[in-house]
Amino acid sequence: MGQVLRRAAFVLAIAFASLAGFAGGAAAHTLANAGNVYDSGSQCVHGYTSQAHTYNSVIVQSLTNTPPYHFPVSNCTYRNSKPDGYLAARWESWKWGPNVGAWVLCGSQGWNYGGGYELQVGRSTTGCGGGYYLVAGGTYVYNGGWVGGWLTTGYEWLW
Amino acid sequence: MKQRLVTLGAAGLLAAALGVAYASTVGSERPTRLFDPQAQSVYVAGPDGEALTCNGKLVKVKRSALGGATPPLTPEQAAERSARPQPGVKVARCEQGPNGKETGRVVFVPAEGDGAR
Repeated sequence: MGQVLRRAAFVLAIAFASLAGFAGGAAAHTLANAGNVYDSGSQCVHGYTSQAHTYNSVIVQSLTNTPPYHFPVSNCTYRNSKPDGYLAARWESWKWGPNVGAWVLCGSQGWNYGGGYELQVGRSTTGCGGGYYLVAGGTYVYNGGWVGGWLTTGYEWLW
Repeated sequence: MKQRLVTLGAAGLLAAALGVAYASTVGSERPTRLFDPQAQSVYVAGPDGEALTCNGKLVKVKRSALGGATPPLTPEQAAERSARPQPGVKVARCEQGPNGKETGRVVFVPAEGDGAR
C-alpha cells in the first residue's frame, strides 16, 4: 500500500513539475517595444514600453543628433537634457475582453513628469485576473509644444 | 525496470492531459482584434477584471477622460507635479450617488493593494 502511494506521489510530482515548467515558460518573459517616436533632428524622443510579467513600465528619453562636424554622423544619439517638467510618460495596461470583443483598460498611473534626459515610470499591474494583456506607453518631451508618441507592446497571457 | 517505465509513462500521460487543459484555458480567449490607440471611446475594467457595467449597462469612457493622448499640463505645472512622488495606479469604478445607488457614470480611484496583481 505504502509503495503504491509513494509511486502515485512520484507520478504527480513529475506531472506537475512538467506543467509548471511549461506554464512558467509561457508567461515569464518581457514584451517590449522601443524606438524613436519623434525626430526633428535637433530634438528626438525615444520611447520604451514594456510588460515584464506583472510589471508595466515606460521610459522616455530626450535625445538629439550629433553636433555639427562630428564624425561619424549619428542621429538621435546624444542626450538632450531638459528642465524639470519637460519630460512626460504614461503607461496603460489593457486586457482583452472576450465578452465585449475589445481591449479593456485595466489600469494606469496617469501622466508622470520629470526633467533631465530620461524619465522612467513603472508599477506592478493591478488585479484584473487572468487574460491577454498588453501595455501602451506614451512618451513626450516639451519642445515649444509636447512632441512624441505612443508605442504598444505585443500581447501575452498573464495570470 | 518495467515498473519504472510504467510509472514514467503514467506521469507523461498525466502531464500531457494537464497541458492540454492548460492550453485550452489559455487559448480560448485569444484576442480577435488589434489594439487601436486611436479609439475615441473604450471599455474599462471593473472589480472583477471584466468590462465594467454600471446600473446593469456596459459603460464606455471617452479616451480623453483617461488623461488624453498628450500630456495635459504645461511644463511649469508639470514641474510642480514632478516634485511629488509618482502617483499610484488608478482603476475605474461605478460612481455612487448620495443614496448609494450607481449613477451610471465612471470614476477613477486608487487601486486597492496597488502594485499587486
